[in-house]
Amino acid sequence: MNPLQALAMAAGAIRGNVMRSFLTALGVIIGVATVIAVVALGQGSRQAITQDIQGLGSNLITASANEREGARFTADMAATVAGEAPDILAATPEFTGNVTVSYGTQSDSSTSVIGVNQDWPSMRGAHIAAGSFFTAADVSSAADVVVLGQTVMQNLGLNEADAIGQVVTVDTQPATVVGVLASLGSSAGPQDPNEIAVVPYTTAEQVAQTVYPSALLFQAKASKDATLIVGTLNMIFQSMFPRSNSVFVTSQDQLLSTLSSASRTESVTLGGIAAISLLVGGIGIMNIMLVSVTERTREIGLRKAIGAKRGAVLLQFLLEAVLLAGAGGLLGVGAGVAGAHLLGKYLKTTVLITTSSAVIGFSFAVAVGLIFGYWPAASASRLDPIVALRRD
Amino acid sequence: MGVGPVIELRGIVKTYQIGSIPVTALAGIDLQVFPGEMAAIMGPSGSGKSTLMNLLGCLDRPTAGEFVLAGRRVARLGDDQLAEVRNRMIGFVFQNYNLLPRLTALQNVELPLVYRGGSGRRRRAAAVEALERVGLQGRLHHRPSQLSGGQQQRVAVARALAGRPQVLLADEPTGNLDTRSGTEVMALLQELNAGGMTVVLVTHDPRIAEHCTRVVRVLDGRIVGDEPVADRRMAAAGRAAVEGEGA
Repeated sequence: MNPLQALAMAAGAIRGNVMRSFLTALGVIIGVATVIAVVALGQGSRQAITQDIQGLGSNLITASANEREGARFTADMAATVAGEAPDILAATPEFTGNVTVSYGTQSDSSTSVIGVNQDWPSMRGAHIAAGSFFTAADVSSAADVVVLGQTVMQNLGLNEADAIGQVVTVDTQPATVVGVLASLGSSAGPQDPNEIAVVPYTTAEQVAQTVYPSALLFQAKASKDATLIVGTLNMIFQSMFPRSNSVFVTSQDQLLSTLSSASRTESVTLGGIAAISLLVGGIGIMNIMLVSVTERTREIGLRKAIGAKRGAVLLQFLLEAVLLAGAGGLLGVGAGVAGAHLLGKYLKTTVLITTSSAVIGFSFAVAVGLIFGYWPAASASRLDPIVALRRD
Repeated sequence: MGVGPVIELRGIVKTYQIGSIPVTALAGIDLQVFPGEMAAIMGPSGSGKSTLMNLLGCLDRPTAGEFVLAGRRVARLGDDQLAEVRNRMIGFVFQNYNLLPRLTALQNVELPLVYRGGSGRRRRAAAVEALERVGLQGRLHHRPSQLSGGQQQRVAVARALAGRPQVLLADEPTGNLDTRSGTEVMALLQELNAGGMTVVLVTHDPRIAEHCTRVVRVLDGRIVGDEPVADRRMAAAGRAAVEGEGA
């Protein structure tokens, strides 16, 4: 018998009882749909977070001082340390604080002020939407200039066309707006990354009311060097601040790898859920196939009597289970895609449906059909035609 | 005579193990059936005639003895080889037709040929031809539920014929039918037999056995009688009589 005819037989049996076939496949449908939807949500949020981290800048390495352990950076350390470590493209101290920026009657009282040098945009991956970033000369002369983030600009009632050249007040310090940053992208965090005012670090002492930089930023020449640089920096800071845990050095890569190990855990959990739901679906299929074999004992007996070999009976029943599971898998992929879109809309999050998750979901369904269909099919193929024909 | 027997049983013994007790169903059967014969196997229930039928149909293997079917020794074949023998050499007709309810008459008749393999067109042609031979050319696409009992049994006969078997084995072929349909089926079997088909049928009904050329009586697993039918009943005449009554 050729497999096409076995397929036709199997399809005929499924068509013969549509409702029961649907209910049988329902476990697999739900299992696959759940996997597709949850993976889509998970991958969507991972993509968003990854983009946020990559938005922090290219090959960025951050060293932060733990003041409780007595570590304090000074502004000139950025250049000193960068001179000692290899393959560093740029370095800047970073002062941070919270200020109120005002312009006329408008103000933004929850602005984060960032005091850095002229290399910050390229390190941070920030683009200038209008005007220009402050220069090295502005930094060395401690010029009263400021570059505004999009949110601050809007809150001050300014736009990109008219903001440049305006004098705003940063806390009490007047500063001339020389540039506006392009939007830094959405953040998963609670803080708006665009609610910032960037000033030369030399002026930050006054505006941010802090004498020590909270962090030193370094930019590696290439991301492959980042790990090595992190190690070197750790050694340098170790000699400067002998107490352990006084300085934390992290690279963007480390953040990404932390994230990916977190998402690996997530994937394993998801895989477990998928396995369990498909197991339940598979047991449903096996159960109905066993019932079906019992119900159709006479049919099997007849088929064997007129010349069906074991393999032909096995193939017919196995294909029936695989078709059920495969159809369930297809419906499940459809339901999962639809469900993911609905959930994404409802929860207002990114969903990312990949072809691979659909293919894997479907393949698992087929595999479940094969695995759980085998036993009923094998028991059908082993039926003794005499006994089977005698059955009522 | 140059023609050997189509069925040859020599010293066939069949014992079953029921729990730890061996039960002898057949205790040494010797039987030859020649091409063109129409033999009835008769016996009360428990006589072993069903066991004999199962052996003749290659559904079962004897415990001891030799079975040669159309020149082929089949007593020691494996399951798949027996399936092949059933498919190519034997046509079964059962008491309760055993048609698959989801399939049309044509699909039911095609089924043995599906398991044989080969092209779909030739399979279909053979099935149509077989249904024509049993007079059901107008019912190709009916399902069993849309056919009368007699018509269903004729579909079953067509299914048995479609593979061009060496022997037609009929197990109480009229057992589920009224007199008129039963007579029709017997007429059909006699007609096929007249065309050269070897027919072996199992029955407990002497009137049915009288339609055959020979009656083999089985009792307690042995053949206790084997004689030709002196005054063979012809179903075609009976059918005419029945139809005359109906008119």
